[in-house]
Amino acid sequence: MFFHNFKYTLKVLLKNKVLVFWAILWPLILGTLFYMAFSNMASSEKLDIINLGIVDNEYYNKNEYLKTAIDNLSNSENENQLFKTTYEDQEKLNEMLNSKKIDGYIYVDINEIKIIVKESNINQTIIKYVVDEIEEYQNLISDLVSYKVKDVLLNNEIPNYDQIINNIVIKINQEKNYFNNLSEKNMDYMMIEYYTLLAMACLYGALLSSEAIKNYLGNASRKGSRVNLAPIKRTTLIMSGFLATFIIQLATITSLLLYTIFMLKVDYGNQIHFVILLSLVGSIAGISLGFLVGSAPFKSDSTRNGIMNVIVMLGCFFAGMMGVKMKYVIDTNLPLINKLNPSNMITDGFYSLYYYDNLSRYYFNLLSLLFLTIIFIIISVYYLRRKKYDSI
Amino acid sequence: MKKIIEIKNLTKKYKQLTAIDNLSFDVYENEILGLLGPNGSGKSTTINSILSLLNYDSGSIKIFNKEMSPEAYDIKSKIGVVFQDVAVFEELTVIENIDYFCGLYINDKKIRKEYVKDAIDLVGLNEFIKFYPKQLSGGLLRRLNIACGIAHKPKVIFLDEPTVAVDPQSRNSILEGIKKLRENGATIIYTTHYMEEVEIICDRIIIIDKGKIIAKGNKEELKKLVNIEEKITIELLEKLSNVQKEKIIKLNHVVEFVEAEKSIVLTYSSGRKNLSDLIEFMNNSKIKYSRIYSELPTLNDVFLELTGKELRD
Amino acid sequence: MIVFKNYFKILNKHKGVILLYVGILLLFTLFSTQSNNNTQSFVASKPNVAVINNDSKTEIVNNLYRYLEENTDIIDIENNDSKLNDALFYQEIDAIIYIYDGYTNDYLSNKENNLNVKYGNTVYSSYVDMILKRYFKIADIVNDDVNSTDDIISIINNSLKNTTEVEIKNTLDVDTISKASYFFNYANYSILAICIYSTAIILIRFNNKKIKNRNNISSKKSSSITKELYLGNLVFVLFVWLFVVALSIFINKDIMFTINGMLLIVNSLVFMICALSVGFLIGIFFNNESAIAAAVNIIALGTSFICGSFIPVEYLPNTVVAISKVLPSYWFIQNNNLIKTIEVFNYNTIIPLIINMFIIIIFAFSFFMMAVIYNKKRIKN
Repeated sequence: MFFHNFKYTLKVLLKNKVLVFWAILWPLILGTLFYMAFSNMASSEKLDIINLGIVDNEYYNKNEYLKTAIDNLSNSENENQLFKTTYEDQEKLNEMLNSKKIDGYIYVDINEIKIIVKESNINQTIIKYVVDEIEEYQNLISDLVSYKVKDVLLNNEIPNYDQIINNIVIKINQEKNYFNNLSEKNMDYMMIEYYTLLAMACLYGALLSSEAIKNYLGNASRKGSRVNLAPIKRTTLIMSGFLATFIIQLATITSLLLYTIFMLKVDYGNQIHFVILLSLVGSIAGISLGFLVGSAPFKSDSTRNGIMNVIVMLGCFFAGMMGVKMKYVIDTNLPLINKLNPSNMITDGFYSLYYYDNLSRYYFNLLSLLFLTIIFIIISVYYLRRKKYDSI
Repeated sequence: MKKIIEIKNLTKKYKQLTAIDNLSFDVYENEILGLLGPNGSGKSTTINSILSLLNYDSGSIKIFNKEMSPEAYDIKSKIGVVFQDVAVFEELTVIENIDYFCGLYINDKKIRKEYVKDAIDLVGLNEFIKFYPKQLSGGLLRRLNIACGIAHKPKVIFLDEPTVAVDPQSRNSILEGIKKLRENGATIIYTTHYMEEVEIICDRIIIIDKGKIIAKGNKEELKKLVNIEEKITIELLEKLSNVQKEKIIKLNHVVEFVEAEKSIVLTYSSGRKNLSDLIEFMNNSKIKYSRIYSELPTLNDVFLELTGKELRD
Repeated sequence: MIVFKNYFKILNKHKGVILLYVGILLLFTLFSTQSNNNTQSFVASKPNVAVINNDSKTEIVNNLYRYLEENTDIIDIENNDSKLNDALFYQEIDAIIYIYDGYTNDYLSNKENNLNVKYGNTVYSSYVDMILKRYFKIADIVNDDVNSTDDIISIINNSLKNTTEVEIKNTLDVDTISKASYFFNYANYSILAICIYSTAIILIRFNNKKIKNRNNISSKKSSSITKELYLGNLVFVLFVWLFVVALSIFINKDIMFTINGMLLIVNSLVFMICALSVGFLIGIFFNNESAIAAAVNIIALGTSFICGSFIPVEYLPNTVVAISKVLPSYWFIQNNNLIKTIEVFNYNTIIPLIINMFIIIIFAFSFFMMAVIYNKKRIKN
């Protein structure tokens, strides 16, 4: 009987096109869309080379320091190349600015350096920063020189200007580390999107299990009444149904993991066994959610589907699926929501494996998920124990 | 005769509404018992209570001399049920559906294969075994619904309005099937609100209304309960005057006079020559009519007489 | 007009789903108004940093704070490892600067005094790196030669005075028109979802075999049934369009009444018609509700992801952009982006817009034709 019911449950679920689409194909499709849209995001987070214009006039060519600095930063062989520089007259540069061919241009006058831009974004800010910096060093040199000279004069010595200036310039041109960079390696924010995707796929197991369980319960469907009248223990039915949904889930999650890792280059950190453990617990959480929703005495299937979609999709929304920032906003401002949100437990579990070195946060999420699963199961058992109903 | 099912004082309430009111009856071996009543009379509730799908407030239900309960697996294995709504898997073919439900009772694959084939033969779905329910017409779907309920060869079969909205051809085939099942030794409880079906196949009839038994017996016994002998309908070509009406009402044996737009229906108590007396009266009074015909009482009249309402409302 | 009336009765039955898409539209509208509030004068974009000071509030530390306040926005975050790291990961801040206990002493006594810094993964993180390097380099050089704390601080600050003048050359209110164009880019999802869903759902209702037969035997000519159906559809889509336009005016106010704003509105109407044609195709191609729900999600969400609605086109990989060119949404969004940059309206600036709209109309026309041809074939069978 166990195997008989298992076999047919598998068949019924896999032949249900709507279920197969949402529970199995949809996560793969969404993952592909994410990949197409986000794959460039990480690299575009680095500073691009800025298109800079320079008004080619005599004042610019006379300003040795500025000229050398710009040349240096525009050198395409330089690893830290910042600018791609165009030298033109002002009229032409204005035209280029309008058509967005350059981000801004520098105009050197007799006594000042001017920057002309059309908007004030990061690229314009950096142009200003570079020009500022060049002026700063000129300030610094004059300040320091006067300070030093004062010092020397106080000691009744004759200052050697050239040497003083030279000393400072050497220091300015010296490359040195002024602080220790402790940045983490795994900083790719877009990974959260894929983690929410996996959370959705795990929890959408609920669609499968609720469909299966409805067929075993006398009050949920007419098929259920019919099955109920057969001389079979309900536990046999439910366990075989669980096995069938679990096997489908296993195949779905495995293919999604493989697809995201090998095709979409998603990074789950380097502890794959913990990734698998979390996916398994997540799938069981999804299945138990389906048992709960499927066995609870709701009026209609659309109510059931509505409830599951709200729990899963709203949960994914709070976990960052429609904008990663949402997760941070909820985590910091309404932490309770995400502490109770199974989509977030899974997402945050993957995040902590990816970003954090210690596992305490991962375990917290894993245990929360297990705890929630147990609650789902306890409530489902309460409903599942009932075999006679007040109304059908 | 051996009692297969014994129901005593069954009562079921939905909040204020009493759906089944102190119902008691027995079902005997190898009979076809008709449970007759209009929609909402409590037939389905009764069946669901007997099957232990519904909680009931009081009473006792014994099947094969044992108390029925959700865990009474030995009883369940001998019961087959066909519900009013079609309850099959859209995702499975005809043969898979029957095999699934049969498999819940019969473990042995060889026996099951035979049983499934028998069920298909019985309802006449041989040409459709690879079809999906979506591809079947309403009547064929009903037949599949029946096959799923009886494939495991149960001793007792509950059929809850299996012919609702079915074309005449399928209906005949279904009724034939039910007769065959009885010939093979099954006891059948058949609920319907189609009077003709009950008259054709049932040995005994119980009429239920508002959760109470209002009459039981075979059809002859039931018809005797009614105080009418015959009904005569006259299709008129002109309107009757009030004087004419009064004269008609005063004719011998007329108990009731009902006037419709272009016809009148007269109900007679016993008496001979009612029809010829009426024709003579019509001719003498020179009332023009197109047709006059007489009908003997049916179970519908029985029902009408007992409850004051039509069955099919 | 019985069919026309019936159209809206059926639509009313599905108002839940349609309202859901309207809700999403409103949500996106909120997003589109959240873009940076830049003004006409030049304000350097400031990165966000967190500073964890374990040293005391010495002059040197205070001066660093002053510098950071000038060049960055210092965000107040609870001093808790996981909260700080989360903030860095989720790009709430671009860097964390840890000032260790005894930093001032080490600095003044010329000892090794490197601070620990953690960067995020944003454009601004590289910028924070530049900002910090500039300060510490100058602080380091000054410290070598100067002894008194006051002198150190005054020389550092004097050097760091920014004087470069920045001139903004712009006649167009870039910021508001950008917002308006973002609004229409985001509307891609809702326009497609609402138009496809409503058109397709009605079509499958009327194409249902039994209902079709009933309609066919009625005294009404089947061409007039079709006409009324199209009319109902058109009225509904126009209504949706008016709603979108009203919303855009409500959000973006006066800018919608400039030529740029009007062009955005016209562009959305052209796209709406195209969305309608997609709805027809879907409605004729599929015959059940769940298939339509799936198609709506794939089309609306898919195009929004790969045509530059959710993520600006410049961030998309070139191959994706190449693929997205076969979708009308790409041309719709391309036009929105173009419109926000046009300052002078002449033949040269307008003609690309018209070409894009023409492409959208060709798409619409071919979808209609495909629907008609498929339908004819289906009837034959």
